[in-house]
Amino acid sequence: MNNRKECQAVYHSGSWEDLRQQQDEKLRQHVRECPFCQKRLNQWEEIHTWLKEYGKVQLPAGWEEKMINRILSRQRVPSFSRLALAGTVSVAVLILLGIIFRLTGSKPVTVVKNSLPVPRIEESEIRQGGTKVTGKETGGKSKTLVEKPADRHRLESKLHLPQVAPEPLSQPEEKKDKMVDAVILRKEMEKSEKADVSSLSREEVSARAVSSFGLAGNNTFQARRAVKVQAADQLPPHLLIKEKSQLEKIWSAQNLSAPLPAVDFKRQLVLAFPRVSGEKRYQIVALEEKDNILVISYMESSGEKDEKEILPPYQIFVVNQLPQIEFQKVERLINSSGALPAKGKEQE
Amino acid sequence: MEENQRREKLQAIFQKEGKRLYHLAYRLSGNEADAQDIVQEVFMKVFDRMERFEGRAEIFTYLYRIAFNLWCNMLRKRKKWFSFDPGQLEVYLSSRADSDFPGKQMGERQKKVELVRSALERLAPQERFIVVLRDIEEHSYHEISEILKCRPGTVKSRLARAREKLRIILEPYLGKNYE
Repeated sequence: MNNRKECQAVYHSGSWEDLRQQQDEKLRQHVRECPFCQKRLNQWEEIHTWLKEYGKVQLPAGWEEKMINRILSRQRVPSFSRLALAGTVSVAVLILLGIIFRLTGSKPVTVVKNSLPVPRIEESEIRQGGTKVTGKETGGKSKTLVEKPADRHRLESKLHLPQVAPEPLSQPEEKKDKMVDAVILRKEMEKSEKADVSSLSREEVSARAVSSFGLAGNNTFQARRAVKVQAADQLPPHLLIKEKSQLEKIWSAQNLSAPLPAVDFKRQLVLAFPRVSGEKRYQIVALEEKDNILVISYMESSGEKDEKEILPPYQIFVVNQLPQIEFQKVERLINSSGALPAKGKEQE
Repeated sequence: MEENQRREKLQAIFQKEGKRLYHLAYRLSGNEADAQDIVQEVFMKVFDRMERFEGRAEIFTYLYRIAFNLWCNMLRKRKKWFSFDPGQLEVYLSSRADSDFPGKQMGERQKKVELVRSALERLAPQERFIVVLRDIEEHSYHEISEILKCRPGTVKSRLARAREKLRIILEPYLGKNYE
């Protein structure tokens, strides 16, 4: 007798034990008569006994004591996964800190000392205005010599020279000094003057800025558009050298092959004007004597770094000692007569 | 709670529930080493959270739930998960006979036990847990529903599904005389 409803009830009861709890007499009658349900129940009954057999567990000898000791002594051995997790977290934290430092631009605190190396070029060969340096260090290849502000400060402190408007020792990376030379100057000038100076050679451009040993007389050209007399703190950190020993030191630091110029320090002094300071580049364009005042005209630009060009850090001029020295920044270079100024020589 | 008090309390709980918990762990995992690990971990958790057990009448539901979760984690780590494939039982049985009883004939009782073990391993963890609780340990539906935090009706339907799976897996071996 196959009653679908009762068969389903048997199926869902799951076991004979469950079915025994059923008080439905009709269902019991069905199980007794239905071979399908009877077979199913017999199978469940057998599985049930097998499960009971499986469930018989024998505890190991002394298990309880051993286990309670293990638990109470808390002998929790750090597993490999825990160690690996700890290591991974540590590495992740370090990487995160590194990223944060990099993003915020923070650096570890370092004390800037005057021991930073001055760029040195052994047996170098510098062409004036020129610029390519070959030497042992570079293996005959062109090498860029980038002047760093720290180098200059080191030099100045070593020489005990008076500093004018010293720059802060620590500057951001992007504010490193850049090289300036006549080529860049000419580019700047070409921008402002266009055809006026574009035809000049490099030497001619340099010559404009030259003052020789004797400035009096036929004295270069005028800077018509002088901006104003610069206050000392607005000037780049230049040096006024009044002793031969100081000149020798700075001359050697310039790494020039040319001989030391003869200077009569009773009447003359040496002006060392930086080519680069911060992001600015400087070029002395005129030195004039006016009524016992030495007027030094210079141009300021913010040209891009030209790594092909290598020049000594200072522009060095020998000038007459006058009671007063004035600096003025100019924007344009125009000779009063419209002609090129007389040639002179920049001291190497 | 002081350390000594905690220890005394833990010992009391262990005396009362330790054996039962070990049985459950053994029936779930199928071997002594895993069962001991599970029990140890359960009681370490109990020791850490002793305050939660204050005033609880039936602590075993809590312990069973922890044991079940730990066992599930253990399975997940080992990826010891068989598919529901009744056809592989013979292969499993012969491999167990070779590895666990080398040079010896597996006894009839042992064969039954191994068959049930391998059949249980083919159930989902929660189904195996319910079968163990209901058909071996004979807990009521209400107790199982408390442990699993579900309704008794849900427990019944899951149990019926698990039993049917077991029947399908073990059907080829039923009705044979293993004695």
